[in-house]
Amino acid sequence: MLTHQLKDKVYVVDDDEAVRDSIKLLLELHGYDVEAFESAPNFSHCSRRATSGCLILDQHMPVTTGLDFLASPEGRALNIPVILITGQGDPALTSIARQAGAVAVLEKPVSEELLVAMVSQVIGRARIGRP
Amino acid sequence: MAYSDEIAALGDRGARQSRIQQAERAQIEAKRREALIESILATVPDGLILINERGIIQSFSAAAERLFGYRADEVKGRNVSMLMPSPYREKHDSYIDRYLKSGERHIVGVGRVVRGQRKDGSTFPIELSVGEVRLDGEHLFTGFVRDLTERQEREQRMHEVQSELIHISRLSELGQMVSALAHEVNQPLTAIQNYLRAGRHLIESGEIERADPAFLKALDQARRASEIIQRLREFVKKGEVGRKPENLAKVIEEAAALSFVGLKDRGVDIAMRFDMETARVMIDKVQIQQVLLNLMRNAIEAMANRPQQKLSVATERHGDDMIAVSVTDTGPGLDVKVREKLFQPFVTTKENGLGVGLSICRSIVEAHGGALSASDNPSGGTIFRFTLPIAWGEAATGASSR
Repeated sequence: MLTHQLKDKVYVVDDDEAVRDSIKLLLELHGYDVEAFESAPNFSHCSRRATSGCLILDQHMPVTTGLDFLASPEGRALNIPVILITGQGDPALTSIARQAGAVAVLEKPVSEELLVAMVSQVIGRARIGRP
Repeated sequence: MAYSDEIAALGDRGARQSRIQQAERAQIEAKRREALIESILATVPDGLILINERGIIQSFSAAAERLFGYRADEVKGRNVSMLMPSPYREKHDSYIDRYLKSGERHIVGVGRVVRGQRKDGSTFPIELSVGEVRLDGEHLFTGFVRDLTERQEREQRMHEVQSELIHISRLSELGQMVSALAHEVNQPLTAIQNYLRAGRHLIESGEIERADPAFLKALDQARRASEIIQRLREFVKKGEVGRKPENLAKVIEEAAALSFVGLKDRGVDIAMRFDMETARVMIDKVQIQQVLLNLMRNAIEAMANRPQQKLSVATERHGDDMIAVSVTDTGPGLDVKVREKLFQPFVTTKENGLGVGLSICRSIVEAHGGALSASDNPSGGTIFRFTLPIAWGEAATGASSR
């Protein structure tokens, strides 16, 4: 199992409690410091202090969808990479999400290997890209 | 005899002669008029039947001869009820009585759609308009008869197209439902996968106490997924309300009678064989007749221009709970390529077919808990076979109860 000296931060936003909780548990076991939120507005309260790590964002949420959040002022001000998760495979969504600033779009159910690889890759890339 | 008497007698004779001449002229005139009317009536496509107040046929036009298959001399003087099927045949005299006594108009001057019966016993839909005439104290009724067979065929076709369209819209509804359902089932599946993976990691690293809650949560999510499926099943079950025990042989016979509408005189032999003649099946009669109609019409169309045209419909017991219905034709059989996609919507071999017929049939049969399949007729042609659940219980007769 991976252990980090200083744990990387992962924010999870998903309205489904079981999905949110299980992603949190799994990523914690992979050595991440996970903070989970049940809606995008809840997350936006603390999005300013999110300076490192990444955000796993569910697309299909009531009131504010993943894309809605990315288009909002808080979403545009975000300076950590975003992985969008969707339950319905829609090719058009991928290009829209990329334009909106998501670095990757994953389809549910996401395999553990893919999720962990993607998280570690986007965090690593973000770290290299930073001065 | 006095001269004056002689004159008078001559005058009498002259008056008598001129009366005879007048009557003859009137008769010739009447005959001429009758011929004129007859020649007009002969060109009108509607049949004209004239009856008296006892229902006895007085006149029967050439068009009526064509429509009913009788010659005028075969029906004149007989009761008009011979031109209608039961139960109207038996009741027609009382209809006339009722009108003459009460003056209540049910058909006179109103017109309505009824069924006529031809000489060969077959029936056909007609639009009947009735008028009345009083001639020298005699009460006569005129009936104009218009053949509606073509119009009914058009309406039948309209009805078919409509039900096909309804099915198409259901298909798209189904597509939307499937996509919503996929999303809903995806959530617990995602969680189950994550919890089980996490549980395995925890066991591998010896943290058994932390693994247990993860597995319990996975179980919860599995239950959630099955509840979603259960809800879907209940949704599908709502369609079962229209089902009741029906005599299968009767349902088939009715469908067979309808299946030839619009496919006249193609020389198809139809044979029916029922294994359990009195057996009842638990079905929505209209839906199953739609399936039968579809299979029989397909079979008849497949056999067009074939030397042997034999359509067989048979039932046989299938296992403990089901009856199988087979519709067998002696057509060219199914192409391998067609067979692969036979029950998929929008696949058709017909020039103007929508290709949803068999896919509708299959979904109807499956909704009844049965199965529909196609196979080769060993003596050439195709067999379509589907199963239906036997209706057990008090209503069932001729079948062993369990």
